[in-house]
Amino acid sequence: LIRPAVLFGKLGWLILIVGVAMLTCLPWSLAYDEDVTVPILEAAILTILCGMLLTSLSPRNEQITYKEGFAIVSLGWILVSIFGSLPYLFSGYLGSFADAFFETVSGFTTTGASVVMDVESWPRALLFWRSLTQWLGGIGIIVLFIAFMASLGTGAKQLFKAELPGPVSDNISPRIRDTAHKLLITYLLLSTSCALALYAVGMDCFDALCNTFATVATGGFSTKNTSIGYYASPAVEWVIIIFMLLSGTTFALHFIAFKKGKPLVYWKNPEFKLYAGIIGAASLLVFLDLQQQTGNTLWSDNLRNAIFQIISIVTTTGYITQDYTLWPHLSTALILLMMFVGGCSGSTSGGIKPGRYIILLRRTSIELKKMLHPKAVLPLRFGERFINEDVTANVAQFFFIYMVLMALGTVYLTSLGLDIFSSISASAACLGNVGPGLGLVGPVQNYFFIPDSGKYVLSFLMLVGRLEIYPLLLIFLPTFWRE
Amino acid sequence: MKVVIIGAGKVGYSMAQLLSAENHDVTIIEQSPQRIKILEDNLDVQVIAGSGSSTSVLESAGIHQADMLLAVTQYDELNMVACMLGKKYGAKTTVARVRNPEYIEIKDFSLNELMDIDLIINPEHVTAREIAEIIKYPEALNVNYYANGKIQLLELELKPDSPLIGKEIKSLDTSLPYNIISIVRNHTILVPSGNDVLKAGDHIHLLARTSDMKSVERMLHFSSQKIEQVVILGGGRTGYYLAKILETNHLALKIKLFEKDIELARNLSQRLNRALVIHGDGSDYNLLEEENVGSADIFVAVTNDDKINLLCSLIASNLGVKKTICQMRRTETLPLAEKIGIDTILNPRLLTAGAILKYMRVGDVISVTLFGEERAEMLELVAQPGAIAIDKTLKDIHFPRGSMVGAVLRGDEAIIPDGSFKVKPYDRLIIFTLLKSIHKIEQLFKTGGRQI
Repeated sequence: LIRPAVLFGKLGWLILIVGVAMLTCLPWSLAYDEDVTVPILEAAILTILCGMLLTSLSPRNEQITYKEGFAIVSLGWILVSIFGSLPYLFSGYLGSFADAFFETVSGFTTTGASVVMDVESWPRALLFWRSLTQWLGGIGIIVLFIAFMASLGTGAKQLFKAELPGPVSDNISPRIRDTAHKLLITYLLLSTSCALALYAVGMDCFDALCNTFATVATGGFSTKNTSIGYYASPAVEWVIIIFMLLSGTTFALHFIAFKKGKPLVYWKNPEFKLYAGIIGAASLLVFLDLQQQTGNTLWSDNLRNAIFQIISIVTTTGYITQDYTLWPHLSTALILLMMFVGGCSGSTSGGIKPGRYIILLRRTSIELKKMLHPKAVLPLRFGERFINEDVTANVAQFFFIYMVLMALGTVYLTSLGLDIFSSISASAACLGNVGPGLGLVGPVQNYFFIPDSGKYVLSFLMLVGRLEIYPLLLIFLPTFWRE
Repeated sequence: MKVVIIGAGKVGYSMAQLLSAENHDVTIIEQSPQRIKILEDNLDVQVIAGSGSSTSVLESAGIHQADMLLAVTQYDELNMVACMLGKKYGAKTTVARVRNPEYIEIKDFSLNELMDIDLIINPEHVTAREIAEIIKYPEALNVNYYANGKIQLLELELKPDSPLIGKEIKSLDTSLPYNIISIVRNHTILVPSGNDVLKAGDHIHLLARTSDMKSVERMLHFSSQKIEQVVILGGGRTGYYLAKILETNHLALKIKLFEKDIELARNLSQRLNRALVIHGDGSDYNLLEEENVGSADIFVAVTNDDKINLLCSLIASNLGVKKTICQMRRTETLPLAEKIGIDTILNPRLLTAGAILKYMRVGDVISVTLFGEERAEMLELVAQPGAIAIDKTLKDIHFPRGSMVGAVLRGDEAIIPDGSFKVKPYDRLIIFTLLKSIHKIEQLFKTGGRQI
């Protein structure tokens, strides 16, 4: 059962959060005397008013149902993206709705794909908003929402599950609201330390904040046209490497490791092991590949570039220090491959996730073993627990739909005139919430030239990727609304 | 000695039978009228109807004066509670049967300490441990340890091609110390003298220092083969414990476990790490063939059904398994099973009774093993100062017929004695004896004992 009043009431709260967040851009435009104060204020007021109007529809402490949970998450992300694009539209820096919507979705989904040609010419207030959308989207607006809303009832669990990425979730607290609080605290601590570290290695206050937002959320929006490459500082790059790595790790692990003083939890977690293993192996291959191309002299640069770029793609951040399309073929291929990996479950990154690969790989080995011993009973082990048939089927299905959507996206982009290589990478980069792709949408290129319909399709892929497919597909099911 | 037994199931009945045959005062608390009838018809024991967790029943059973309380009902919790109550009322030693693995696998503290129970006995675990020992010594039909593990006893079968056949015991190579303490021939126990001639099919009980045992075996031409694959039939508690023990102790071993209940099979597959759990009926000939059971070194049948165990062991042996171990709950048929060619037959009840008996003769007798159908025992006892046997050589002590000192632990040193060995106070003697002679032996080694 879906009650429109309750549904729109809760959506109103989400919009309200976005509206209030817009107000935080105003100090920047006032301090630097930029011409966007009025448009941003207008956008904020309009958003807040709409939010208040919607919230007034619903009785205050109404608990939500299972289905309403899904509807709130899916519609919430779409609505939030529409309202979030208002500052770009009102200020005129992005004139068309398709562009503004694409940029906002890319922000909230922490993708980092951009249509802005020259970010350095933008006012700081707008850049701040662009980075802030990533930070809000990183932990999930819904998590914020759960942490602050008093009574959501059992539906809250659904909200939470629908939004936190990954096939299996670690509950760090028996109550969802408590869990949301703890995740939020972890996120805030991670953000604070990242900002301080960036400031310490020489960024100014504004850049440090914006880059923190984009790093901790594994988003990848930068305030510079050449992304992190602009700073040309190994120290900055190492700081960002570390924080990308941490942000791509399950937040619950950080919480247990630090709060409970058990640093070994990382190594007991099979997903983290695979995540670290993939990063290590891919970085090493790229490093060796680069060494062969450049000779021995630049080894420390090559090592850092390899690690930076691999982590940036695996965690689905999408920061750039090097134009990797100019790298040797193997390295470029590895970059493309990494777009399908993603960070750990319950982190801010997107993608398919190592946890799902573990389940798929184990399932493969079980299927092979079953050929030899048809009657054997073989459990699927995942760390210390066991994955039942329902979850494995769900993961296999996820993988299938993911690939189908990617293929459809690719075909659609080629119909708009893109070459196949660019189309594949654009589709993969958006669905995996990575951001920059290869070819025409490569690291020094941009999504600006793609026709409007293509931008909508890519925006859809970003949302599908962020919400891990099912919730968003569900709301397109007519029976979901009818029954 | 005064013993109170709660629950007259298989183990309770066996214990009552054994103890009353040894002239102990036995009181049994039992609820079921049918079981009470059986007890009263067959055993010379006092029977009290009621629940073992009722204080008034315990009191009327004379718990205040009891030397030992055995709680062996089918309910773990009742057994534990009864033991705790019994201890408070003054029972000197308490023994509880607890079978649930979850109670046994408590990691952080021991259940014994928590509840102040002297011995927690788990028949399935005892059986599994016994089977694991046999797997460790695959050539042996049975394995036992004495003197804190320093002395080992193996039951070995003389194969038709053994070079020992036709020889007198005294003519065997004795460059390493060992003792053959008994021979089972045609299902009867012989206590051998040096002139006895070994025959094919004899089961000999060989006692030696644990550290020497492998060399002794080689000296006497018992070959030990390497075990690579074990098949376990039945995923009940025994099967689970066994697989678990084998997983931890034998890292290279391949283990297959057959269980016909799918839910149990799933559960087992999650609780075990390396063992391959197969869902299927063990008596399904095609399945056993398909899973290539014939190539296994050892086949262990531990389902709850004796008939299935027997049948499947035969099938496995027919498929080419080198050694079959079969659990039989019913003792009457034990000799029969041996006759049809099953290598080792284990009876959980006898094993449990043996483990409990170790606790029975507190003080002088330390460890006990039951042989065959309860006709012989291994005693481990301490020679007390001033006893008849002190300062005498073994050949001068008048042992009852059919008894023999197999090994001695003096301080930390394990000795395999011959006739000229002189007994000193506080020697720990490992003695093989027929059941009826136990009292006579005890008299020989305790202070103020009388020659009977």
